[in-house]
Amino acid sequence: MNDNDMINSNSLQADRFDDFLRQQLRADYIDDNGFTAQLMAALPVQKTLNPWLEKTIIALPVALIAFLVLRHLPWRDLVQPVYAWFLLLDVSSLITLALAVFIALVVAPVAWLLNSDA
Amino acid sequence: MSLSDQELIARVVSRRDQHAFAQLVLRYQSALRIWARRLCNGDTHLADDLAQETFMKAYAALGAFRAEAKFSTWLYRIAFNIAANRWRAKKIEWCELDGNEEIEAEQCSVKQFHAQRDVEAAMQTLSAGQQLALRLCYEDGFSHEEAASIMGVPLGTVKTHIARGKTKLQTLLTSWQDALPH
Repeated sequence: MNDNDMINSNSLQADRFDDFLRQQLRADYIDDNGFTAQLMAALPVQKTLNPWLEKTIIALPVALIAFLVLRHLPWRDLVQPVYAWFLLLDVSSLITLALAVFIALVVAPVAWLLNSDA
Repeated sequence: MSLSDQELIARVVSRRDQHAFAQLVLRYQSALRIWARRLCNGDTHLADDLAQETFMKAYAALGAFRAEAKFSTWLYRIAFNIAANRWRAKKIEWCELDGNEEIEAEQCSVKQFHAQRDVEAAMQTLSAGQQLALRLCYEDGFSHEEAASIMGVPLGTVKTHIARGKTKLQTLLTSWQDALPH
């Protein structure tokens, strides 16, 4: 047997021993037996606010500030020309305007709500 | 179809999805508890306690997990660190990794060929470091690099542990060696 044969033989023997070890040391499976449930119960629960309460907390100060700013505006001077323009509108323009207001006040918020729920 | 580890981790991180985390725990509880038992010298209660603490730390730190390593490697490493800290605080009986408490090969008589029992008996004669390195690589299928990362030792140390451990096992398991197919 020459050196190469000897090396090949040793390498083969080592590979066989590796395979043997892998086979014999294969770990058993431990059944869960409530381990996961116990662990999940012990996990810290993240405290979350009601989403509507969250929105109210943001909306309330914004509305208050907006009210304080808006009450200083000259409303009468602003509303009178708009009211005059409204009275001069024809029927088709009124229908178009009503449609636009409907979309702005009803359809868009409903679409936004549906989208946020999904 | 079951989700990959990465997808489950992403759900836990982005939505704190506990159901996704439960799936990860179910997937790894067995392997981690076996690893914990090895670290706790077979004490099942301490080991389950260690495994539970490991998962809780993993849950808290999951955002910091980078997919550079396997999730299992990361979990094993956390468990190893906790066990090492407990050992330092003397809360658990744990073998010194660098210790050289090998039993002389001559003292062990492995005469009968009952492979699994003989291998287990032979493993008990190895040092803790050799046992852990061999089990990580041969039982759990980690690479040498991953085993080094888990044990927090240089790659060369793991290779030495494995080489010496295997040499000792080969000596102890001579009766099996004769039975190997040629």
